[in-house]
Amino acid sequence: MMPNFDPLYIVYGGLAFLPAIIWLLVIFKKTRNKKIQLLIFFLGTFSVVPIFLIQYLFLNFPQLDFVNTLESSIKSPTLQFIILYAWVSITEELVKQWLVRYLDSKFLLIETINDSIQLSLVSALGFSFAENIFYFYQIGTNFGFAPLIVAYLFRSVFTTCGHLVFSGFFGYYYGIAKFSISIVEQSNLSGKSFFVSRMLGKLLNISKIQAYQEATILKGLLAAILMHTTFNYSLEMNSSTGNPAYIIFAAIFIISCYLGLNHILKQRAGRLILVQDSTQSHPSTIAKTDEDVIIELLGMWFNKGKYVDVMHICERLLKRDPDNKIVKLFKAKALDKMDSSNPYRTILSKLFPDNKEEKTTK
Amino acid sequence: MTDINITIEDIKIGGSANDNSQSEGKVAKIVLFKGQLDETNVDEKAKLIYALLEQNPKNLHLLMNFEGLEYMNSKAIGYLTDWYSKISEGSGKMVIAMAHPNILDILEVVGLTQLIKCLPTVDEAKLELLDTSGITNSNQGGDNSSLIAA
Repeated sequence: MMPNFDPLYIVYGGLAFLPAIIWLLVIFKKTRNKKIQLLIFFLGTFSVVPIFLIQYLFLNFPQLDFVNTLESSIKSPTLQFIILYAWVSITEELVKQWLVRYLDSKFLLIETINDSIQLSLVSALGFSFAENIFYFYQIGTNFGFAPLIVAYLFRSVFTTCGHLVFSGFFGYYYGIAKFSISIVEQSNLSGKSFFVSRMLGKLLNISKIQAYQEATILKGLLAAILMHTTFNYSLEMNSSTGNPAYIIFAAIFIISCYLGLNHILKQRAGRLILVQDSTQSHPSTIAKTDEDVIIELLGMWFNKGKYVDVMHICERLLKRDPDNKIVKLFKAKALDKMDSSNPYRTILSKLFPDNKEEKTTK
Repeated sequence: MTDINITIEDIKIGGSANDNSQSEGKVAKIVLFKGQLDETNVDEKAKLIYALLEQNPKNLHLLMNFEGLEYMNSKAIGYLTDWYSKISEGSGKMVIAMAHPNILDILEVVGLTQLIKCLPTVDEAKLELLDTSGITNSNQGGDNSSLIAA
């Protein structure tokens, strides 16, 4: 239902702002470009508008509410819930991600996979902040203080975290899709076959890379929808059955997803600047055919787990061809692949520290 | 299938023309490559070297003459690394002679030039190969040219 403006919204807006600021500080610890991210947070708050518009349309024009029509045709309450929450997840995830993709297409904001994740987190935070205002208003005015406190604490921590994580994963896959040319070539050389992308490409009459891009974005969307639907469904089951196991599951689920996303953000390959800056390109001083032989060897040895050798070769090759993204990816992935208990990992991290080819936090 | 010709010859060492490279338990061979090692032939041709390594597991001294080698692919480099490891494990030695600049470039970036000495001439390569083999010329004051006779 489209809300009529009540001055109490300002009060609840202030309440919702506190956890949003705390989450922003958590996200900002891992970022450099704070001004852009603040802007995206602000714009993200308006991404609830399409959701409200759809809800308004469905309420005032029930013939358009195909979700309700679909639910009515299904007898199983479980399936009805799943369809409803899948629909909610689809619309919310698409809307949150749309802002990031639109701004990136205009201003090329995304230079690394981690950039894509970060911007998705901030956009989701804006959305969650706006959503929380309306939820806190509804609960505060209709149910009173005690339910408001419970909702405030749970939504500020778990629901907001959920929105961040769902969008974060979508952002991760979008980042991979964006840099698919380099990523596919590097993975190809490491022995990955991309059978599905090849078949999809033939089916849709598009290139393997394009097919991979579309499939990856779809994978990200499906991952976000699945996580979002799982979370919402758990909350619904807690509400309808009163069984606290569902809410405990929901909390553990969100924490696990958060830890998973945090692990992804720590990968060195995610910090690699994969965007080509033509104003700062450096010519290669090694013949292309010779370089191709070495890169093929990198793939072979990467596949065999010879990560130390791969790193050393990459370092030497980058002195000859500093802009080669495939070699940079091999180097970053070799370090990521090395067991954290391997002493070589520590030595090599110090020998080949983060440099200008990677984005780092301050 | 791309053409590649690999021949293996003994390197004669010692003070007499009759001495062969099998003296004192040390084996010195020269492997001549002519052509290109690529996907079509490298697996097949690598078997020749592996057979040589099998026949001489210890103290094998190998001189790889790359003068006629125009191209080697990544698999060939992988094999080269493996041969070097096996020879070193058997207390032997490997050197490379007359590699083309592009091949030398590849070996340098891969790091193999830090392990395997690459020399510009066959004579220098033979001297390097036999330098630490402990083989001495019995005619100490005489002409040492037979030490490096092929």
